[in-house]
Amino acid sequence: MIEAAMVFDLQGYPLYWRGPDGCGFDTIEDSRTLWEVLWENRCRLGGVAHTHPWKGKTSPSHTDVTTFAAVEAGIGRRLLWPIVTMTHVNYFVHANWWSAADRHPDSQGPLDYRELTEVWGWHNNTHWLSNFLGLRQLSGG
Amino acid sequence: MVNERDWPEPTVTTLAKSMREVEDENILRRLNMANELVMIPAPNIPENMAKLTITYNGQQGDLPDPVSYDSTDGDLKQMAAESVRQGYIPGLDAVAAVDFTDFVVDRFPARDDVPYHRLSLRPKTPFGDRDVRGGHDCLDHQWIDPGHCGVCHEKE
Repeated sequence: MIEAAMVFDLQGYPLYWRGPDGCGFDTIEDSRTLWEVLWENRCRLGGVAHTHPWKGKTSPSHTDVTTFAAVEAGIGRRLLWPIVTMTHVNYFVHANWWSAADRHPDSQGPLDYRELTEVWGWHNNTHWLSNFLGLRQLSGG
Repeated sequence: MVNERDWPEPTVTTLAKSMREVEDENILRRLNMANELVMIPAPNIPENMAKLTITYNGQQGDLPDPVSYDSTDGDLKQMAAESVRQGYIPGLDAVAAVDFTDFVVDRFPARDDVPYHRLSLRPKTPFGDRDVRGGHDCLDHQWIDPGHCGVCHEKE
């Protein structure tokens, strides 16, 4: 099993898919190409979903949260970071996601990413949910 | 040691050629927004130096002074952080709490169409759970320790 990622816009439509790079890695390695996609689409960027190719709920790794924080620092705003397993989707945002000025009173710093307990709007639409099938297929599921 | 008398006398042809070469090294040919070919002066960057481009807070800018192409990533991050704090980079707002810890440096050597070295400081982009799973797969659970699943104890 390998990890895969999908960059999506503010309405949840895919902008870029990243599967295995053929170099034998089962994780998504650092990539200038991926960064250029994020930078070029920064005005309409919604976030990046990636897989943890196993069953059950999951949470971001240290590599994940440091990448979340670095990309948001580069882009200049907060993004949505769904993590897709073979059975679940968990959505993560920084504790200060709502606005930089309205800081979460319990925020523990730049790596304080928390799971959204409920999702709304297009996150329940068919086009968005179908992206997860694509991600799971890319991951070998 | 080369004797000055051994040098060939410059002719009109060689002189014109050498002038053209000098011009080529200092002029970059680029398309403008109307798709017209324009010539712009190349930055005056010595051979072992590089232009450092920094991306931060939704903005991008170049350090006004060239930096050594052989500088370590740590040195470049430190230079960039200090410059951003001071508001020294055109195009980038000053940010007091700037942090480039999880940024990476891309290095682009000089080439024909860009005759100087370039460095780019940008956010890293890896995603990975190898620090959680130990780099192995258990489809039913996360790997807790390298080599076996901490839930079902399935071995690698």
